[in-house]
Amino acid sequence: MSTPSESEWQRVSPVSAVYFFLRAIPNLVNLWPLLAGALAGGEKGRELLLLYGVPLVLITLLVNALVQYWVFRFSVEENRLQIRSGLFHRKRLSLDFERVQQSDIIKPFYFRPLGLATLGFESAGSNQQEVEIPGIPVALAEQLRRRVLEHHAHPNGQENTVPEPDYQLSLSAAEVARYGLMHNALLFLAPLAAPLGQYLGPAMESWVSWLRKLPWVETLTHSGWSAFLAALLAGVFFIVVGIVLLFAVSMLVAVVYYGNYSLARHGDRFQAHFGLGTHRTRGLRLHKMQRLQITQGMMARLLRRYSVLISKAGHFQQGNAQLSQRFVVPVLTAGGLENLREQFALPRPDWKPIHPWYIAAYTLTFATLLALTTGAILFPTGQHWAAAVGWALLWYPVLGLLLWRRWSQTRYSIQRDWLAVHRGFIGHKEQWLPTGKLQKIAIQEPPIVRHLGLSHLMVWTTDGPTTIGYLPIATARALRERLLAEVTEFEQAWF
Amino acid sequence: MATTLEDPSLESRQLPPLEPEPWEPIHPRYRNVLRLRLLVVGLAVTLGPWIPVIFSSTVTPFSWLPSTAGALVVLFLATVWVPRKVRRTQYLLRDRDVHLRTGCWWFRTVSVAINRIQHVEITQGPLERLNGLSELVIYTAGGFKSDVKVPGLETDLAQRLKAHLTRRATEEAGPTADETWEEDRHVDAERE
Repeated sequence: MSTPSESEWQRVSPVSAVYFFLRAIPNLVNLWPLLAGALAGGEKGRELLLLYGVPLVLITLLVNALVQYWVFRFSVEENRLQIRSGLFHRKRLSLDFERVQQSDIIKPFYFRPLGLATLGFESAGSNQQEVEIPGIPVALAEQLRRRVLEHHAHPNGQENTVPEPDYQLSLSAAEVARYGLMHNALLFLAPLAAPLGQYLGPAMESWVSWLRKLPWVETLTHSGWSAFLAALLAGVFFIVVGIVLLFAVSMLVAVVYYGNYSLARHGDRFQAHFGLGTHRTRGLRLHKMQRLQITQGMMARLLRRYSVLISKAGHFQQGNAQLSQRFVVPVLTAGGLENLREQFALPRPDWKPIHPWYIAAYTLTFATLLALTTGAILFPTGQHWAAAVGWALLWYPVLGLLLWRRWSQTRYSIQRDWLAVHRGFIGHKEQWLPTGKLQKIAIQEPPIVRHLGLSHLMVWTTDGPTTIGYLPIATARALRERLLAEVTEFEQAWF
Repeated sequence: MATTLEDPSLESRQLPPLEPEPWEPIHPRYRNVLRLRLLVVGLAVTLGPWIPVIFSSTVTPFSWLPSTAGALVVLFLATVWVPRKVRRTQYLLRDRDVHLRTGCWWFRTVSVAINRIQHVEITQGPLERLNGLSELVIYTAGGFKSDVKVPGLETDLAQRLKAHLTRRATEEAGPTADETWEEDRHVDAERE
């Protein structure tokens, strides 16, 4: 398959210098001591920084980008890809097509007018690596990617005709915007807005004085409620505006990132295209899947939507920073989820409950802790002892109810080839593990739980551990034997 | 992906339990290793609290309290915890999987299928060398801390176990051996 011209070193487009330029920018963080020094150096320091520092950094970045482009070569061989980069610190990397876990085609705005793209590969193995070839023609990128993905299926040839997909899904902008509502990462940033409070203060004051002048507020003035009411209204208003703003931004981000989402399956190969700003194409071969997760959070439940997240080998080691690298189907209706389940050949779950001691164990621990704290707070305040004890004991029924809900949502299902775990409170999360790919199985028997004849079962995939707690010891052992049997009899490559 | 167990519903009694199988204890000399380690800790906790006392040079009856408490804890561990832990640490080698049982009060059994073993390692600290023991570490690809450590094996036995496991893992990998076993070969970054 390899022709002589193919195995020669190839250059990428000069425009890729933009890519190298942008990629080097995060490294500037290492220069912060200089910045701190210059700022501490007073007027003189700042002047020097602006006059010489900034241009120097820019020139360095520019030269670096050009040099990086100049030395970057890649070559495509029959079964692997070779990449050569670096001027002083020379690096040569070879990636077997067989090892590729995922391949992305990314079209940033500066490549798009020229019909260029960045081709990214992610490989499996103890030494996780990402490989990117920036600035190659889209056609070449598509061809290379297809070749890599079809390497297993057609080792001897590449198909130029794209057959009709076996399965297809596309999401409208309105659907994708729902993802922003469902997974609002910005909500965690809300506390960071606290420093803005100092600017909010004066705004609030003028707002309150304006409110006070309203006729209907004025009628209340005589009853002494005016100031309180105005402050309350102002507070509620700001919180509502803040939340609406956060959700709007989050929806916008979702639409830009996942806009025009489409998913297709050809045989065992899934492919997703998405992104309004930067187009992304992400591929996944079915047998590379290590864990499939179906989530429906509280918001998603209100919207009656689901998300699906698929992990491949090595994602666990990379940590959550690489979450964006996973294969995601952002928004699915109940019907869409049903269809997708069929594509992955997930069986209908046969849910089994865990032992109700789960409720007792957690209620006793946490309610006792909370009751002791409550007692410690209430006693010195001069409450009657009976009242204090009564308040403290109230924790038991409250936590009991909450944990009953959690327990009723915690179940597992073991079927041929699949182990599924269901967890939830208002929303829920389902994890599906292909049993043949499990790495390690443990049974834990802590002291008290053991005397009740219970144990916890833990299984590890390459994507991390999953625990099924509070199983009768006999059940846990039988499960382990069954899982081990499926692991030992799994003959295919597991990654 | 056919399995021998076709029945999808789980009948716990039908499967053979692990109990009648020959769980092998680790070597009793491992107690010495643990006690020597405790001795180091014990010296630290009994002598440590005296340092401030020496510098402030006011010896009260309470000065004895921290080091006595520390010494008692270490003594308790050395006499009760160590033998129990060593007795409870057992391993079981089966044709297609390895199991390790640990825990003094928090029992834990870890099982690894031999075809999931990535590599096997033997480690030996100075205290273990003194007692002629080694630790066998079995690695899988299950992410963080995904290893099974069998402590207190006689060095000779550990070597034989390692050789056996390595050979079996290669056999199990079978036709896909070059895929699962030579994990590191696919992406090599080399410097010129």
